[in-house]
Amino acid sequence: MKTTRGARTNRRRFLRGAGGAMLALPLFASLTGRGNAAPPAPPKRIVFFYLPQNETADFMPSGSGTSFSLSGTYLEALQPFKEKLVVYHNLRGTSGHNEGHSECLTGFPNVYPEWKPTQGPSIDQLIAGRLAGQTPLPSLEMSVAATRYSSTDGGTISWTASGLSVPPVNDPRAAFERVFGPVGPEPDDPDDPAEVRRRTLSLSLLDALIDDCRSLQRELSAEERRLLDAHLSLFRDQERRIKTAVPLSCDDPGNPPPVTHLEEWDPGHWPTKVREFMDITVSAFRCDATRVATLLFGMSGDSTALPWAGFDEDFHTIAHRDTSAWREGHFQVRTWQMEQIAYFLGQLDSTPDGDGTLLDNTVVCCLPELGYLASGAGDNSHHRDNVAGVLIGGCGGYLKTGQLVDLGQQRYANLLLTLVHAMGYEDTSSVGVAGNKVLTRLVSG
Amino acid sequence: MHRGLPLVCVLLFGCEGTIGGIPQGDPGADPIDGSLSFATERASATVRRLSIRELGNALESLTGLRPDALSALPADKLDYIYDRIVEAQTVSSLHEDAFAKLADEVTDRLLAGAIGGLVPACPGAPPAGDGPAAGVAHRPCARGFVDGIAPRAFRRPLRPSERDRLLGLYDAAESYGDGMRQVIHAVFRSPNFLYLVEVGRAVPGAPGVYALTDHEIAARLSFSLCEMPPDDALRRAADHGELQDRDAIAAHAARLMDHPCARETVRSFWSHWLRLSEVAVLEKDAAAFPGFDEGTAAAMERESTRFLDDVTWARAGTLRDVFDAPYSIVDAEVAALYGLKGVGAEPERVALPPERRGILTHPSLLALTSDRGETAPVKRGVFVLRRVLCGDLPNPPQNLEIVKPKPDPNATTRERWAEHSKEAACAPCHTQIDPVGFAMEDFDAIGRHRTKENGRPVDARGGVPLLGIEDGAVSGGAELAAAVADSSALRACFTRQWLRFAAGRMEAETDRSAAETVLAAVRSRSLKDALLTVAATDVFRLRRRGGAR
Repeated sequence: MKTTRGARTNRRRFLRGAGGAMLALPLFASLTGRGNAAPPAPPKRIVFFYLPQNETADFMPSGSGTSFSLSGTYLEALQPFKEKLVVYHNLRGTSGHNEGHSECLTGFPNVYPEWKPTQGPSIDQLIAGRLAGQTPLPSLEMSVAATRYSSTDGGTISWTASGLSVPPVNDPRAAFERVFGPVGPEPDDPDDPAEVRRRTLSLSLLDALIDDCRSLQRELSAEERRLLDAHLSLFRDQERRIKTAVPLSCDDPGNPPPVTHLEEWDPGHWPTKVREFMDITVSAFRCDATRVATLLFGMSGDSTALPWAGFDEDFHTIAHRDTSAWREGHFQVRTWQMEQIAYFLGQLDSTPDGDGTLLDNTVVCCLPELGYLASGAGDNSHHRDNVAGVLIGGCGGYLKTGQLVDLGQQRYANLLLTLVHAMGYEDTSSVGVAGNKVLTRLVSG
Repeated sequence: MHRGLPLVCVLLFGCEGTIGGIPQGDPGADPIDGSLSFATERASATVRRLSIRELGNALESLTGLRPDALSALPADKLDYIYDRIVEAQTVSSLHEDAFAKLADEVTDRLLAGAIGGLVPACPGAPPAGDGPAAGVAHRPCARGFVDGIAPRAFRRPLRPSERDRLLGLYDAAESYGDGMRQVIHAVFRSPNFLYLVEVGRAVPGAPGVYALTDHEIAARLSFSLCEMPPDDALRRAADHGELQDRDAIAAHAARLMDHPCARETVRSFWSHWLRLSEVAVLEKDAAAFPGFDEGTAAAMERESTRFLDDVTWARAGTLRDVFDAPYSIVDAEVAALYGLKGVGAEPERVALPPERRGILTHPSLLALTSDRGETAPVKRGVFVLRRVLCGDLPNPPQNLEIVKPKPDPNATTRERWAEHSKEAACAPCHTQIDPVGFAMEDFDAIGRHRTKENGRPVDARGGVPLLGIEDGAVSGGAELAAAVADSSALRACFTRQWLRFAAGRMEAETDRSAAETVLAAVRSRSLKDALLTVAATDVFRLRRRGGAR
């Protein structure tokens, strides 16, 4: 390592754990020697971009199979990655309006009057659960929406196996600190006795907290215990992170976003936030701090106006109209979103990973809230009879990229099952409603 | 079980089926008939997390500090209107991170010196040269915290094993600072602090029914009415086993009701139920309403809050008064909207002009249920039917294309909206909704009275078909408000809402007898008395165990 200690001083960050002890977690490569070890096969990563509202005919590339063109569609910004992506359409969801966010990653319909799926887990949580212990953070959930929206069930696409919503973080600085720990002073060497002692203190504190949970659990029924069970597993996660200190595979997680005191509900910050969230995700993947990320471009049915995208009307209203002016607004909003995603893809694709790039070992899923109608009329229908989307990246060679695929009304949940298999969990046999068949046309080989 | 009574409140989909059990398209019926109905059959047990408000109050009352880190918590979910309903709660790693941040901040601020004022045995400044010796020297501080603060945080005496555990954490840290940090984290991150846990004791002969312990009752009472941990008097009563008696509980409830904390709690109830918390951030179209700004919106909210305080506390008014009072308390900003002159900056009580009665005609609610540039009769109708009367309106059909009528400078809002009621797909619902909204058309989108719109006379005739008040039977907001105020549906709905808020969970069929007690008080007594009656019911004394062990 050439870097001098002084130059790195404010770039090394350690997790502050239970008891306020600096846990010296995650450990950086230079401190553990991991950077010098023979490189293992690069891990697979998965990203979910949630795009509120429906798709219109302006989504659909011309051509078919491996011969298709994105030009003229609002996917055009993805052109540089054409050979690394799959555009799919004609999947059948469970229902329609008001269900898109619930079904998005769970494959289950919505339960009313709550805005949540009939069951969990969402596949990001499923995959994160399978990966537990392999990275410091199981998964990273982010949203541009203000907390009063992002904390609702309509503001997330992630639920635990027991059906509890997983709220996304909506402040980039907080997202950074979730991944890399608080930005703080130079910590001691992790093998320093003081650090070892702090870890011991943290573990004995967690022991006490876990015992508190357990003694309460004994008195209560399973239904009554729901929140306590979830709380206990959070303590257990922390315990495991301390006991099995997983090192980061990088020395430099990049600069943290500034601490802002901007009005968090002001959507004027969305363009900045989106970039910052994306940069953090790239760093997190590069450092192998997590392998699962979700980013919501707004909540379900989001009605935020997006003037920077060229349309100063609320997006919900835009999406409900069918006049050419409204269609144009929708086109511009989606174009802006795709430009952001193209930026992210560019970052992934310029980051070496194993023998290729991060993008080669990642699958980036662009999932709209609602379906798509091929006919010109009624493009504003809010249903999920025909769900379309884009997957970018090879996911370690699993996906057959460079194609436009008509999936012929197969169940939407099959896409979710396919993504779980793509991440290497091929023993998963079922996801959501009737998600029990891998979409073989998306799979290479 | 009570059979044959209206049961489950289910949202229906598509404009088909029934509202409140009565087939739609039958406006002569009286489907919201004022009988009690419940969200679920069986009460879910309340192991509920403290809301952010409660957590902030609890930390402040226990440590004297209100940590900045409260802002790191994900907002409480409002799926069931209020911020403390267990069915809507979640806990996530974002929450746990925030709880750890809170404990860190509390530790840092207390150890900087504040702890000396909190626990007499604690040093007023960090000891010079912390280490094992300082740890031993300041052990009385840890003991003072564990014996003085921890039982209040857990709302019950500590078990000996818990006390030993906390002091053990302190001792093992071998320093004052680290030791106190361990203890403070172990208390404020414990589920015993963060959750209201009710276990109780099995009631002989009543399977699945548990009588809450005295300390559990004290906590329930205090968090329900004050959103904070029990005060000294309640703790003493619990310690002495005095809270198994309904009269004793009622007496403590009455005492808390006169405390400022109860006012804040009741404000929170109104603010959530009637959506007043959304008023201050309302924006309006600058061209249509040039004078309207943040100050106007804030003044609107303040007027309604003041009015509700006045009815509830100063005048010992009734629920009916809330909806048909002929007065309000306005400042100059709101007076301008009323067209009143001579009101100064200080709020003053004024008699309302005949076109206004009660809170439904406050500018706050009229503006809240309007669009930016014009009124929204459907929003107003849905607000009254769903929020105020607990009507089971179905959602619009899944694939319905909702297109607002085009602007037309030569027509009134009503004329433009009237069209959609005629369409077969829309009519079944909108013949219920629209007459309610149309009856408020004599107020514009910022709550000013009007007789003309776009140069044409306003037609504010309407009705509440769901209450059996036919379309055309009332005219204008004041008459509508009087009809709502008169309805038994209003009293039943208020009962449900207050029960839900007070219990911190969805109201259930098993709460029927408690609900009947509250409803009787709502009918015949002051609001304050009605609010209090819930404390003497089984909702505050029993746990009904849900699910299998």
